[in-house]
Amino acid sequence: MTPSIEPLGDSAAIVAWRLLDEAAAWRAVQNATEHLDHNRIDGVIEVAPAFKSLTVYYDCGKLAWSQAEQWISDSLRSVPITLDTTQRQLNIPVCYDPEFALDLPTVADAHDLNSDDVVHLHSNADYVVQMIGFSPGFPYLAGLPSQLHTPRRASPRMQVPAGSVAIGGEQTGIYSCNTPGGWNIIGRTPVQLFDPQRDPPCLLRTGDNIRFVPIDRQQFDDSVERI
Amino acid sequence: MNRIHFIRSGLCSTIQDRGRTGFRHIGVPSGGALDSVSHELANRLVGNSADAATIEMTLTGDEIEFRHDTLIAITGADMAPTLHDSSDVWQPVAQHCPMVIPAGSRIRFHGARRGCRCYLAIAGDVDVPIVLGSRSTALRAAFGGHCGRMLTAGDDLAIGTPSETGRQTIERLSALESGSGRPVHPHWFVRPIELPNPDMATLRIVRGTHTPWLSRSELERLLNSAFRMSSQSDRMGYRLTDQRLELERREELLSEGSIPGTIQLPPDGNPILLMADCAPTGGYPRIGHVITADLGIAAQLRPGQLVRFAMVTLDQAQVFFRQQRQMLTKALIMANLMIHR
Repeated sequence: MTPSIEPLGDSAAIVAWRLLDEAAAWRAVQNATEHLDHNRIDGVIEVAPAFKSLTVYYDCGKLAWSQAEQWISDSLRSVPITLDTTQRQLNIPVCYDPEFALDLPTVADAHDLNSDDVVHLHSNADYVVQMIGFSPGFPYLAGLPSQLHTPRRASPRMQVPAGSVAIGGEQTGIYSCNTPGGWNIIGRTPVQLFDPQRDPPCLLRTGDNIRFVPIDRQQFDDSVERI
Repeated sequence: MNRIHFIRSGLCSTIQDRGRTGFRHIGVPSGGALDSVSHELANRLVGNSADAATIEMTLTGDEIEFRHDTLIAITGADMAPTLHDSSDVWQPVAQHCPMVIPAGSRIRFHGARRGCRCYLAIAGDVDVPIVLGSRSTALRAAFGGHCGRMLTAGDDLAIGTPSETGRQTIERLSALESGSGRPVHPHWFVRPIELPNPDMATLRIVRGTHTPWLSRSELERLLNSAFRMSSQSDRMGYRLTDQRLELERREELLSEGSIPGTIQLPPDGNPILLMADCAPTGGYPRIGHVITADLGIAAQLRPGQLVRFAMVTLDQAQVFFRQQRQMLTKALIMANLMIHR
């Protein structure tokens, strides 16, 4: 399927596979992102993937829209189907202690479950990192059991602590920095998802397989970062 | 090594350079000086490279002590800077030109009389570590710049060695008036773009993916009404009030790419203009984008002021950007000729 190529302002382009189903679009985005990024020409700054689209950022002092568009459409014709299938499996420890899990009761009530059920469901599912975004290192994870799908909070919190594990609609994610946020917080991980001094700075990559492993408060407090 | 010392700090003073590239795929904003034209002008006037960092001050400025004779340039918002000697005798400081500040004196930046963001470049560049390819302060994720935070009273910054051009400028200026203990500056200034009209600024925009979701009358309102820049405005984005726009379609969108300049329309109908520290992705409809050439003007808008939008084509937007680059280049050539004639 041919994606749409449309301008995003005067110095970026969005390439989108909006009509494909989630999995097919995601594969197309990953393949094309890697290909475009490896074949950047002078004036193309960077390429970043989203869910069903990718964004090409360019310098409009060096490339006119018509040139950027031409380069993108030409390059897309030669995208090899060579998605790296060696996906990593990572376990992320999560403490579901009430002190951290501010919205665990809300999520449980919304589905007529008790808190233990929510923890059990959340920590017995396989997740895939679909995208990193929102804030540095924040992973959007697909694979949340439908019994846990919960709408975002009506009003976002002004400050969500880094490490908070949360549910937003059909997705679950981990707040990587102290930021405002509207997702339902159900636990906290001691793992540092983003550290600009580390190489690579971001712990997770799109495509990673994730399991959440429950830990108790003592383990959380004792835990030194290791994954 | 030269150092500068912060005696008082303004509302939001940060170290910024051109910003980071190559990390948007892991959610890192581009960041960088909001008014990149003023930022670059200041750097070039003191002989710094285009990659050097400046101090960006917002609405109110800092008070900074200079330990040695230091070549600086001040551009952007007019914060009516004053120079104070050790006995606090003061005099106004020139802006938009290179200037040598005598050792031991302080510059006090006041509230911005016009514009919002003022840039201070120091010959030799601010010596802070490069994090993820840039010296820009990423406030939300708390890294880069000076300890990943705003500058505050008591901070002390190391300054590098001026470039060859910087040294020549210092020599030329010092020849004008040496050993007087007064700041030495030429009798000219360069200002390639004007600060926006404080009553009603105009930003040029291009269409966004979801502009067609506005009815004809709503599109007219976008282009013919004045929006007010709310006080909930920072380096991530500006909330615009006074007009609520409605879309003909309501759909939950998957997050897609954003760039500084993007005008998002959240469900409450008050547009948000994204600025340099915005997340690289967002899930709200995009009803337009302020053109790159006008982002410097957007950076100088003041909370509470009115702003309107004018639609241009994508081709025009890109031409305006190239013209702006040429204007800046010409201004710098003129400045260079004036210094070294």
